[in-house]
Amino acid sequence: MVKTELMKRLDSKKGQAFPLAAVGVFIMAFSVIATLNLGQAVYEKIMLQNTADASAYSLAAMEARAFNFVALTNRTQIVNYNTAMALQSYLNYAGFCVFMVGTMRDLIADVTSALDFGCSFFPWPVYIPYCILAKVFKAITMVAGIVVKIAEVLWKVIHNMAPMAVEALGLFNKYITWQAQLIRLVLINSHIFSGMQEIITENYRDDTTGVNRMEFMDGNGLWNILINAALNTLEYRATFDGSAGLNPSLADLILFGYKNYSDFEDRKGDSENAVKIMAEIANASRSEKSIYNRKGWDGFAIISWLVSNVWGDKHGNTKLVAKGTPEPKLSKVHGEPYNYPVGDTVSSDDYLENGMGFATGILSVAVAFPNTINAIGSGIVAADKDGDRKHYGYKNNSNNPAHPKGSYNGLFTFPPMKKIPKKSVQSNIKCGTLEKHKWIGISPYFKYKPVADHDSDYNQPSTWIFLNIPPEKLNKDENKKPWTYDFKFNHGGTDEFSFDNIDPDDPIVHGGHSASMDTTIGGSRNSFFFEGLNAFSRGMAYYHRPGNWAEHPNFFNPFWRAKLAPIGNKLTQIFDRFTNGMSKPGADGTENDDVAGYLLNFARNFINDIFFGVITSVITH
Amino acid sequence: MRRLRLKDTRGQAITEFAIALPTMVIIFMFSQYFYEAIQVKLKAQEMARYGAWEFTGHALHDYDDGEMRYSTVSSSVQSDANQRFSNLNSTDKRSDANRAFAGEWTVNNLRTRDLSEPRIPGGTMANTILTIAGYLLDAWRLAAIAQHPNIIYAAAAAWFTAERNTTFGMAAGNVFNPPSEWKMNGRGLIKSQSTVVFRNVFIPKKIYGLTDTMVLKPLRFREKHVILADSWKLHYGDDVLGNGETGSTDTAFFKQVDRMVLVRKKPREIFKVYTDIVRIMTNIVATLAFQPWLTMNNLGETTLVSKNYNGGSGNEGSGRIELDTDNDTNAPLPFDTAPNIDAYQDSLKTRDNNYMGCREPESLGCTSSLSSDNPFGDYIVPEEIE
Repeated sequence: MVKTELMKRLDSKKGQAFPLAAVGVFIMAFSVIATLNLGQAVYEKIMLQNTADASAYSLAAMEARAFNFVALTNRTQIVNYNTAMALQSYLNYAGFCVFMVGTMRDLIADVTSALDFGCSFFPWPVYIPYCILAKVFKAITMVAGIVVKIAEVLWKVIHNMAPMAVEALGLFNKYITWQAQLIRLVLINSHIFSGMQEIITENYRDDTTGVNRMEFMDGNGLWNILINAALNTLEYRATFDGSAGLNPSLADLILFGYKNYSDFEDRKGDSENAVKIMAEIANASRSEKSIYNRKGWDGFAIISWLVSNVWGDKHGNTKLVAKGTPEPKLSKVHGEPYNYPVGDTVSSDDYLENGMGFATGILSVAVAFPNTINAIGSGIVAADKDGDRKHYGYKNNSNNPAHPKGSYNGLFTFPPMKKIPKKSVQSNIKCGTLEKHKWIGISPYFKYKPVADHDSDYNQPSTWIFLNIPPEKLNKDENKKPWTYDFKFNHGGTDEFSFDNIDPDDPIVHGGHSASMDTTIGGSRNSFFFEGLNAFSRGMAYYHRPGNWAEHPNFFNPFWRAKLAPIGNKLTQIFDRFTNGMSKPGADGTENDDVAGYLLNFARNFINDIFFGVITSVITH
Repeated sequence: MRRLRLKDTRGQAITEFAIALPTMVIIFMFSQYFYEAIQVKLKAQEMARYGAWEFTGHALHDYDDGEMRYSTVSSSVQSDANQRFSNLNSTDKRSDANRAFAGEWTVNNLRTRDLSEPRIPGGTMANTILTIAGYLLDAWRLAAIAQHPNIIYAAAAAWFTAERNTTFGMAAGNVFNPPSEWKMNGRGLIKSQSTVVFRNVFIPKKIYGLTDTMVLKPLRFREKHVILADSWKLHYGDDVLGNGETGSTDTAFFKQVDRMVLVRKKPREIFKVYTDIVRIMTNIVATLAFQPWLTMNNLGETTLVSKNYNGGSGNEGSGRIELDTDNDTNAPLPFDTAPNIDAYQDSLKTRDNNYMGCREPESLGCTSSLSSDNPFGDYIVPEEIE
């Protein structure tokens, strides 16, 4: 067979390796670029995810900081309530002591009067001891009168000083401490609304050039910000119980203003619970016996015996109790029911009961019938409204309340039997210039809103950060690097090979190419919503007392922490809540074999596909 | 003869291969070089991240002594990170690997900084506006409190407003500095920075005739990671049973609250003088009435009771304390030391004692069914249905 020239040339092996090598080199060159591109894509993706993680964690840490701050300041408020109760205790105790001094003075005066009577009534020589004792007791009465005056003056000074401080402590809680909490919590909104821009900036800013590819509203675009703001606002606002004052979410402050604050001020609705909680903890925190158990002489042998068996059992207590109470019988502050309603009125009392009736003990020869003075004492109620601020003097076995500066309802001395009644005064005593024990009550504070549902994470707030970095932010670089190029194979009518940056504003430059190898990161592909790279991260502010997982989350102990949290699991929970009522196979142990159940299942699964389809299409690119 | 030799095709392929080989080798070496470079860059990124996140596992401040711990923690974290990443392996602490096939590297020591808590976003302008607004609000507040009839409150409020830059007035809101005496960590924004220098080892440092800029310069990868690492959490869960109880005043919780009462030490001292007058005069009146003195030494003393709740079995009362003489009948009266009514009580019963309140220990997703555990919903059929 004669070979043609063409056949010979085709048969020839000359130069056959060169085209192969050329193609090989070309492919390898692309491989190098692809390596670079892939590496840079991985780097960028990790950086974006790192930033999302750091932002989600940082927001959770910031919220945890705020919650711990609120817990500590709430405890500080409680200290102030306790200080107020301590001052009230001393004030009331001083009043009780004046009450006792006055009673002694009156009893001595009674004895003096009886002795005077005997001195003038009995014949000689019987009247002699009466007259001598009468002189002595007149002197004692005069001294007792001076003592009473001194005690009253001191009492007036105390009554001017203590209540002012008590009121100041309430005001301090209401304005200073609460404002500090509010400022701290409201400021978090600025970070929420910016999608944690400060953390993103810190992570993305080039410290040398100052260039920040994720600038506010530029790299970190409007949609990112809106998504993050919406998700985190929903989570953040749900954490607070507005009944304890304000919800510090900016959305609430704008939409509802001071409505919740007014409710708290008026003690309307759930605010009563908030008051009750704070008062309960304040009552629990009274650690000194001066406040919750003001006994009389205790541990002093004969004196203690005299106090408890002759004078009477001494009681004294100061407590935050519900408004409108107690009634004049202040023993309710101590007594039944044990769970006496707590509230925001400072009630304090000091009283004696169950004594044998030797009224002034060793100082008096008078014998008072036990049922006349067997329970004497005084009490003070500090409250916000004029009508609720009261002084009480009382004797609890009679409906006639006693005089607050010394009291007995009737007294018999022997000999002779002589009754010298002392008129009691009404219970709600206007103390004239001393009417200053104003107490504004429990102040608004920030309260956690508990939810007894694990799927809601017990209402512990999640933090969500979605980040998208668009292709132009990944590939735009003044100093072009290999991975910033877009490779174009232009062979539709031209042999031109283009090796150039893409210019979306002027596509004609490349003219009619039919295929391209877009190796730029994030590319010009369509990823449903967000082109470029996306990252999604979830954090969580959670409550954990070391060594104790059971304790319910609250704003009274500073055990709030931050962590990153799983996304899919939470999305499932959210989805289940959205589709609540739709049939979930096996959820309640029953099969849905009717048509409606089947349709509900179908609808649920359909929504499920879309829900997760959309989200995963975004978060996996 | 000579013509014949040129026409001879023997060895042609190998000749062509010999010509192409160096090009391919060079491409391969560059490929390897770039591969190693990106590996090193990713490791540098990992090192920065590692360094920053390690801080989240340490106490950056301690309520117990009120001390900041950054300097102690940072030396520990940096030392650990430097050892782990010195060979860019990060799985052990060997430091004898610094070279691969096409390149070698030098890992600089990790640098960390403790930055201030982030200001509000918006840059200088937003913060300036907020500061001015804060001053105006302060002025308004000062005008308002000057008219308040309670002199003590007015003085206290004016004091704290005037000290806004060190406390928490509105003007200071954009940076929110708790008073320094509170010893809370105003910083904690950790910036971790790693630097790795990568050099090629397959091209001579300088080839004759080429300038420095024409040979492969060392690549310097500088990576950073920034995170707010400190959540101000208390690290000790001990019971605090009031200052009357032995040991309670030694707890970190108590000490912290003690630092915060009336904001600063100075007003606390002034207030103590004031309450001491009330205390002493009351005791004088008690003496006149032959009554015992009340026993408090400081009416403004810190009081704090916080007892652990363990309500998994429904024993919600476990977080209560009993003040044994609070009533007439000598029956102990329990008080809650943290809220435990209504929803709190339900929450307490539900959480149980397991991790994060899971009903089952170490259960995936903390839910009872596989269907719920599965992050993708019902895609996996629950076991009970199969």
